[in-house]
Amino acid sequence: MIGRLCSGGRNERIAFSILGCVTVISLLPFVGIMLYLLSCGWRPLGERCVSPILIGIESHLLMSLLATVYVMVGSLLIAVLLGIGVGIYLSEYACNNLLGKRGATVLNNLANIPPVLYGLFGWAVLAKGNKGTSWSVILLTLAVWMLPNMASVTLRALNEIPPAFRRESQALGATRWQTSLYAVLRFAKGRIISDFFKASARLIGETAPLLVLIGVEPWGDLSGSTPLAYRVYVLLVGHMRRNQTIPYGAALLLLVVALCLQLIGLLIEPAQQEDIDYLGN
Amino acid sequence: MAIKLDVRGLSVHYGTLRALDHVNLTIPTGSATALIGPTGAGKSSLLRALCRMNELWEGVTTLGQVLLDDENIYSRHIDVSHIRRRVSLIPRRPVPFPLSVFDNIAYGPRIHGVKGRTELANIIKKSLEKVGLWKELKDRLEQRAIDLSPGQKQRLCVARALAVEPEALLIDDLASGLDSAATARMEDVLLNLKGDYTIVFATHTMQQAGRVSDHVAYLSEGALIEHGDTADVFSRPKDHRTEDYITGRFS
Repeated sequence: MIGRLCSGGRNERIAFSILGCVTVISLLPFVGIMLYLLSCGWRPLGERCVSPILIGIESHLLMSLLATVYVMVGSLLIAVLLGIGVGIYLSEYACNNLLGKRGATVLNNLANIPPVLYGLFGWAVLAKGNKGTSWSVILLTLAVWMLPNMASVTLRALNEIPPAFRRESQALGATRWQTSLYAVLRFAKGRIISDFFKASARLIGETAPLLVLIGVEPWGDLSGSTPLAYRVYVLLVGHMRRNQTIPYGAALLLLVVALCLQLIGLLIEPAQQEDIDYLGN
Repeated sequence: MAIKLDVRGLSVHYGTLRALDHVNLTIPTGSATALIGPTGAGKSSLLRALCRMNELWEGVTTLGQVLLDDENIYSRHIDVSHIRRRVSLIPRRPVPFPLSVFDNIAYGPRIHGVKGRTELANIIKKSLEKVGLWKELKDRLEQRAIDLSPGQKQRLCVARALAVEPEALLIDDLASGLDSAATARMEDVLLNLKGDYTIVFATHTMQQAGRVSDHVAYLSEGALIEHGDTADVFSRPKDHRTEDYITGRFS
């Protein structure tokens, strides 16, 4: 009996060791990409971004970073405001009808449509098929693309709030609107903000295919402010054959920005979350 | 004796499942009424129907009338939030918000427009005193409510309900998850509140119903089998099913 137990224990150790190895192996590509980008990108990043800042001259990479922030903030502002509204409506008001029940699935499907299709929409509908689109078209297209993501994030965060909170609030005479505001959104807002940052970290790198379709003209020469993901794409297409290192710098900067957004999302993870999880069980 | 709640022909269905079947029941003002009966008898459904909380469950259909001071709470023009403020339900497993003790009790008054810190502090003191928690918590009002003991949590949720000044309190399963000491304290609270508030509570414990209630209603399979003064029902039940239940031959 004891022998069988020992044998079981040894088999278990072997099985978990194999799974541990698989986990490490699956992380290796990410670590490899990080190290490769770091080794190839730190010098061009220093030369073309950090040094120009230090000596006070114009930096194209810095301008790209600013453009990235600009388009992300602009489009996120639209997407977040509408997304929160959609999330609240589906979670709190339409929860018993078909729209509410299928809402999460519909939003997930919309969020998973490749960005290039949204770019096509922006180019065909918002820019009416013209190249050389304006910033407003780019912002709107990005906002339309991000909206299902943001609504989905909101819906997920609201659905994490235990139904008991809603019932307790309404049992005290609160209306559905007051309950949504003070007993649901109040406790979900930390999670929503945190998830917005995490979602932005992913979305920031996916803007390139969308901008390829709608944003070629205004940034075609790459001399002005060009969002990072698009800059990486254009540099890859135009410069890699000439063995230049600039794309590595841009890619490294993009990665750093995405990781920073992820980190912010993790740091502002709501302090109440454990309490909410505990009360929900 | 004035009637606070008058239930007339009340039926509740969850989809095709019948939870209450044509229940008629009167609840006198300022009294404590115990709802007894086996699991699935319809006690919780009846409590929820008395303040229209049953509408928060999906697929529920309610037929019949519940008169609160002679006004049908199921009338179309009725403000449901106002009804729920007047008749407050404390669920089987009370859930404090992940906030401080102070903010938990202040939640209701703030919703109803009380903003001043001093006014809120007075409400909180009064509410905690009524449930016997003031001495225990007066120096810990900023403590997280979820760190309280189960008994304190339950009394806190009663205090939170009292803070919105209801006329009736509905308590689903008085002793759910509480030890005997916490249950005894909860019973004391109800005995103190009786008179000022109309109380309806569901319980599985006959001794508890005997100690706290003035009236008892026995429900089984969604039907009201018997209703009357606690002493009468417990000593001379009219229906053999009631007798079987209170004597423990059936539970």
